[in-house]
Amino acid sequence: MEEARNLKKKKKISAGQVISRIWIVVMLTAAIFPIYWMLNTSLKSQGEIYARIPTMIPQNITLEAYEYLLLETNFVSGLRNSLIISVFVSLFSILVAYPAAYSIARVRFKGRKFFSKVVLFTYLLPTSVLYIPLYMFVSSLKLSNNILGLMLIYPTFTLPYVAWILIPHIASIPLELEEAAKVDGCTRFGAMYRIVFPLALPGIVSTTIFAFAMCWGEYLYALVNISSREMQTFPLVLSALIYGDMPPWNELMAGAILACIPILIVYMISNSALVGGKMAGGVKQ
Amino acid sequence: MRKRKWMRTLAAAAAVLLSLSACSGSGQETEAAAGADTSAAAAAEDTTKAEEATESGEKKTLTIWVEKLFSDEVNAATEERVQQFAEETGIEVKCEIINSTDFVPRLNAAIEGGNAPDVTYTDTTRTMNYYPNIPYLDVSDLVDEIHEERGYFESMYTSTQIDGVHYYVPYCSSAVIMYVRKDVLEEHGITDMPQTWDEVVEVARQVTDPENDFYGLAMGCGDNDDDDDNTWRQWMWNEGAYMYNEDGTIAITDGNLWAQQLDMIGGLYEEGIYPPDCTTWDAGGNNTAYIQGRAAICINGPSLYVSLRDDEENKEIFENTAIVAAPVGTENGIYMNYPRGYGITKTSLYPEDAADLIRYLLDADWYNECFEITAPFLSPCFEDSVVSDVWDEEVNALIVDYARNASGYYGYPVNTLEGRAVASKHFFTYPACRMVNQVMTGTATGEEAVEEAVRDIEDIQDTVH
Repeated sequence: MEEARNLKKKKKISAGQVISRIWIVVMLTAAIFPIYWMLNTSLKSQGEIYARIPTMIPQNITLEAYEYLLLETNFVSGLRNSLIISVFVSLFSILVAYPAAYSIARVRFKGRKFFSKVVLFTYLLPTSVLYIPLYMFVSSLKLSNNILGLMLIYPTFTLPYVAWILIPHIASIPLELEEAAKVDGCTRFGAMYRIVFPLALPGIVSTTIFAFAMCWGEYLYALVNISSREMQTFPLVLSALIYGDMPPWNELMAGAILACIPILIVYMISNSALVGGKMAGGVKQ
Repeated sequence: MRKRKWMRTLAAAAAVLLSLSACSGSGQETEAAAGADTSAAAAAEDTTKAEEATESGEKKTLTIWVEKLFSDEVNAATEERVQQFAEETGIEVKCEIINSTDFVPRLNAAIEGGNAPDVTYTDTTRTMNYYPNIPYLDVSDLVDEIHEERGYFESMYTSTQIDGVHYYVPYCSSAVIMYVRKDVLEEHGITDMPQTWDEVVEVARQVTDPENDFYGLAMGCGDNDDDDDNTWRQWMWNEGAYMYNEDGTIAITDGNLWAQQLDMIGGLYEEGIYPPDCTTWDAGGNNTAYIQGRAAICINGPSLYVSLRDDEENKEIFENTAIVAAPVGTENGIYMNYPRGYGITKTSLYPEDAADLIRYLLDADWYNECFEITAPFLSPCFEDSVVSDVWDEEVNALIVDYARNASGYYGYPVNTLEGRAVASKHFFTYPACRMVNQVMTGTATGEEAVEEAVRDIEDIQDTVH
């Protein structure tokens, strides 16, 4: 009797599990399908792309689009430029935004709320409002048509973003841990970097990845500031492929696929740092 | 200590305010355009800068922005030609080939930043969108000189003149032709190609077969479908429906013609002669539908012809396609003119050299050869360019005929500067597509769509007057 009841219970649970797994598969398919479609399109010929009935699997797989992109355009140099800018700006943003976020989260000073709101408002300023003033600024420094100009511009949106995300993250770290460190002779600066920083690392890493991605795919600032082929970032190279009213979707999708790779690598490298629960048991409640 | 904190707070607040005030220039096309400084003081300052540069022995530098064309060969040839000019004159010339979607935001930023190139590719709508701060010099004398020397098509010369002034030197023109699936028409016993809009509609009705996902007419009306905005507009003109009068006043309500035409189009959509998804198309939607074999008739530029001709996978449709002149209406056969050319910016330090560069690009030998390579993408705009056999070929001849006879422009038949400015700014909202979309999707009747368009035009008029 007891066994039969347990079996019934097990069955009920497994039905729930089946539904949840189906749900996961549906959601995963929805999430992965656009990426699959990018890959699928990048391997098709223009004729097949414009076919009346879209093919789920390319009928004649061709690497023409990749070949064109890598050998006949400046896509590779565009990737290199984007990489240099994104690495520099994301690291610089963390370097500057972390102490700013720490100050706002931890230090009590007049105007703290004001600064906190300023960070948010600066983040909310739309790119379309800023691109001309920033172009003028960079031009006056003779840095237009140079990736250094973009390195100067991009922190205007990554810094407030990183700071805004880190403020609540740092605030969530128990103050008692810092106080304990101070009791043991640690300075505030020391506590900021030796106690809080490692504990905030998952947040810092994920924010850095987002900052990297923001710079990686940025288009408008690059468009107005960069004119020479040597200085172009990869979004500009891809955009230049579009002219007329019949875009070469296979080349564009090949570019998008190749452009995903560095983001994936960055994510995979930093994956080990994205571990939560470091503070668990750190404070006795 | 407390005072110091206050000082810091004040300094931070001031910094934020300053940064916000620096942001007050808008990135939007129109507003950015309004900031272009064209004052006499600025011009005088530029002259002084040029004199200083010459006195200090600095090498003259010109920058030219050319819009990327469909043909890589021509883009490369243009760059090469510009470099030849640089070698011959000793002037350093920077040539940038920029694709059309990137052109305007880059130009806006460059104008605002005081870094506008000396010469840019432009057209009337783009130029007038900057009104009242048109960033280009009056080049009427240069155009007249070239006209006297080579003889522009009359249509090109007159339609690029705004209130008696040329703001750019006409260089080329695009055209629109009609693609018809002759095999499908033959299946239905139709042997004569349609020549008027009424005939197009009649043929489309006969061949439409929604059950097999086949439609008579590939015309779209999505949010950004600039291609079809032109076609709808042309159809309206041909039936006597205009948006503006010659003096720039609103004509869209005159005789209720627009509303009637829109209701008629809404009815055709219900009948099923347009693909149901045409309300979401962009400019590539009609080409795609035609290439996919979903439509019998498509009105488009020559880019579709080249795609059909050059792609082996489109061979069957290409062989079954008849290419004929765009249809005319019951009132007239006005064709929309698409002239493009080169303007010299008011901030150019060396306008005379910039004019020489444009003359160099219009040198008959090079120019004519270049357009023969491009054919049929673009039509040249000189009588002496079309004497070659190349232009006798069927499609090429159609393109040239179109350019030679096209007389319409955005805002047609407006003659005033302000009226053309309103029409140009209004064009960038793709109003014809918007109205057609409203009637097709049933969100408005023809009359309601027109009323909304009137309000939009009045809003733009308020910003211009």
